[in-house]
Formats: sequence, C-alpha cells, structure tokens
Amino acid sequence: MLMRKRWLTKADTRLLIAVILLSLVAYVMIKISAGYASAEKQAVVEVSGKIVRQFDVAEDTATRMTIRGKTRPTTIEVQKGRMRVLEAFCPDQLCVKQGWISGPGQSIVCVPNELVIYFQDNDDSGLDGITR
Amino acid sequence: MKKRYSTLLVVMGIVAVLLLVGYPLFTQRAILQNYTGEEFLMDTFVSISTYGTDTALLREATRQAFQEMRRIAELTDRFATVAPERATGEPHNPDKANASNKEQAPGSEGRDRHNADLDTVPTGESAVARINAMAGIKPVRVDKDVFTMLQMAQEYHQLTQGAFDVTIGPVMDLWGFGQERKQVPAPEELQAALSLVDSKDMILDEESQSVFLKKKGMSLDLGAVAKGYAVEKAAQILEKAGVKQAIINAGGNIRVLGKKEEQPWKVGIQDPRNPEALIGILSLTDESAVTSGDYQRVKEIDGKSYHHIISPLTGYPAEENISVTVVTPDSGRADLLSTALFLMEPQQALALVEQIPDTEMFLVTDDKKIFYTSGLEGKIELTPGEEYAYAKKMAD
Repeated sequence: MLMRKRWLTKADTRLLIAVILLSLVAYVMIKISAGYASAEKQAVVEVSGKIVRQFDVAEDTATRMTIRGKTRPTTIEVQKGRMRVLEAFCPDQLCVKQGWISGPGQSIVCVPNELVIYFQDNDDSGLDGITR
Repeated sequence: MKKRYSTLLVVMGIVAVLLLVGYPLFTQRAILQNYTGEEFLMDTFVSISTYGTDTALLREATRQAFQEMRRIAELTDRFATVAPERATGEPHNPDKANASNKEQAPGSEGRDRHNADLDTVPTGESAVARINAMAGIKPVRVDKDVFTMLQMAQEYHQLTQGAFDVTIGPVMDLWGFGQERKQVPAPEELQAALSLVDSKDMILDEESQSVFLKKKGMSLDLGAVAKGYAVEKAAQILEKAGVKQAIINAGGNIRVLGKKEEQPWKVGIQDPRNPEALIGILSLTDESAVTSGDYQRVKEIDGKSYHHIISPLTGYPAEENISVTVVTPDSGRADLLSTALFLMEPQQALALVEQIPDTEMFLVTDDKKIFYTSGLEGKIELTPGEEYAYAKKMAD
C-alpha cells in the first residue's frame, strides 16, 4: 500500500474531531453545573440602600430574623423557598399585606423603614424588573 | 509518522491560540460593567441600573439622574411647608430667590415687574405646595418642568372627559392617602370637596409660565404624574451623559434605555391578585411601562378596603378595573395614562388609547377579563393564571 504523505490522516481527523467534541461536551457540562449552582436562591436584605444581610434560601430553609430598619425593627420570615415581612412597625403595613415573594426579581419594600428584601437574580434569562 | 504527529501538534497549537485570542474578543460584550444606585424617593424605592464600559461615567450619570429626580420630588411635594405670601408690589425676588432668578431667561425680571400680581416659588420650596397655598389668591410663576406636567395633566383632563383630574387634592385629603387619617369621608364632605375639583379652574398662562387655581381651597395632587415625569427626566440625563443601556425602576414605574446586551429588557407585569405571580412578560426597548393597580396602596377602614385611585367624578375609588399597564416611550405620559385609563370604563379606555400614537395598554377588569392593544402582540408573553379570561382583542 502506498503511503502518501497527507497533511492529516483519517486517524488524525478522528482524533481532532474527538478532541473538539470532548471540549464541547465539557463546556456544556460546565455551563449546566454552573446553572445548577446558581439555582439556589439568594435572599438579600437592604436598609437605606446598603446590603445588611445576604443568605442562601433552599426549599427547607425556615427562619425568622429581625432587621433594624431606619426607624423601627422589621421581622422577616423565610419558609419553603419564600419570604415575607411578618411584622413591621409602619402606619400602612403595605409590606406585611404584600405577602410572600418567591421568585428572582420580586421584592418587598417598606418605605418608612427604608427596607428592601428581594431574591437575587443569578440567571441571565431572568426578569429585569416588574411593573406593578 | 513523526512528521505527521508534529503537523497535528501545530494544528492543535494554532487552534489553541485562536481560541485564546478569539474568546475574549467574542465575549467582549460580557465585559460590560454594571453600576446600580438606589434611593428612597417620592414615597417609593428607586433603583437606577446602568451598563457600559466606563464605570466612572456610569456612576456620575447615575448621581446626576438621582439629583434630578430629587429636584422634581421637591417641586411636586404637596405636603411641604410654604413661606408666607409676599405682599403685592413687593419685589418678587428678594435675597435668596435672586439665585434662581439668574437661571431665568434674560429680560424675565422686566416681565416680573410687569406682572406685579405674580407670585414666585422661593428656591428649594415646593411649587405645588405654593400653587395650592395661593389658590384663589394669585397666580404662581413656576419652572418649566412643573408647567409641562400641568399642561400634560390638563390635556388628559380633556381627553378623558374629566375622568382624570390633577386638581383632585381636596378629595385625596378627605381619604387621607399619604396621611394617617382612617375614616370613610361622609357623602356631604365628599360633595363639598368634589365641588373644588375641576381642571378647568386651573389657569395655565404660557406667556408668564404661571399657574392659578381660581377657587380658594382647590389643590393639586401630582401623585399620578410626578413620579413618571421624574423617571423620564432621569432617563434623559443618563442618555445625555452617554449611557446607552439602563433600567430605571421607581417602585414598579419602569423606563429602559436601549437594550440589555442586544436583547430587549424583560419586564414582568404583576398579577393583580397574586403578588407571587406575573400576568405577562413585556419585552421593552427604549420605552417605559407603568402600572396602576387597585392593590398598590390600600387602606382598611372598618374591615373594608379602599384603594388610592379615586375617581374625580364620584369621589370614591374607581372599581371597573383592577390593573392597567401602559407601554409608551415617555415615562411621564405612561404614569399619567395608567391612572387616567384606570379611571375609565374598559371600552372607553381602549377607544382613547387607540388615538394615542406609540402607546399600548394591558388592562384587567374587575371581573378578570384581559384587554390589550394589538401593538403588544409579539412584545408580550402572556402568563395569566386560570382565573383570567381574554376579552376580544382590539384591532389597531
């Protein structure tokens, strides 16, 4: 059999394709695992525009915390991947009445206490805002 | 054999170099920086989020945008205190006010002297509070922004045949939104207050840029106008400073600049009956979305709840609709229109919005029917819960 000098033999081509495929697979897997990692929600509590608490919220996280707002303390409850303002000392109680939030982009604001709680949006395809 | 092997190595080397060089070039838009500022303003939480490559520019633009919003907030605060009236004939710009006079057009001083019966707003004072204090007494010369807002409000008073009225102040005071008061106004009280509500008695004089409320006791409430207007001014300031991508969110009053990384911004519309859910998702580019809902500010009086969007025709909270979202380039107009359309019958609202160019509406009625304009087709992803039904879509 005549061995012609070829730039790439069949075997080389196969190897090259294998390497490219492998790297593609690795890339996709890394992306997916990164996606899973950020699927765990992060809750953020801000007072007067500054982050005062930041914590991960899993499905089984259940906690209550009292945050010192600008004027009075506010109690936040976290349960089943959701959170709400349980108790606040403000005239309108709008933050308490708003109830639970669960998704990225959602937030509860207490204007008198200058307090905001929300879920961090780690996902690129998520919402940029909510009109309400 | 050896030679081929080295060829392969060279090829792989080249591929590796190409990847190393090409990847950062390819993903350059990912190097975009984000700068976000947050502030409590106009009874709400305002966030300005800007994107670009120059962080210093983004920070400075955001600072200026907030400064402008604070200025509008100050001018339109109707609960602000007002300095006593100046006696007629007294020079209108003593000491402190002189500073603001310098900003006015040359020759305006002469015009001031000409209009001896014109009041002015001292620097740092609320123009709206001053106009209200001068109701039935004398016209007040105001700055361009306040005048523009009131012109827009008067325009929509006509277009909505009185369903929207910026002179609703006396009625809002009775209900006590923005104050501690907690009782349902008596019908006689409401009638008395309603007799003071009429935008036809708000005299706007373009030449002297002055505002006069004809009857004593009349008062302006810019609650449906000022926030959106301030957001629009902030957007213009960002744009002028060279910001190309930004989203301003003032308690759900949203204005976007450009696109977010070549894709439109995604903005959800709150489900009016479930704070955890969305009723639709809008794709926005260089425009604004504002919602008026009966769930936003609610007062509970004797077990019954009353919301804050009061009809200037009846004096009671409007009940035909539960949520109205307006999408249009100008955020001031979007804010005003969302309230104005909320106060109308759904069919009338649709008919009116049809006449306004570049303006779309998404409306949910009290019996959970959804109406939306055809211009939203392709711009909205609908995600309503089962309890909602679509009414006949309107043609453009």
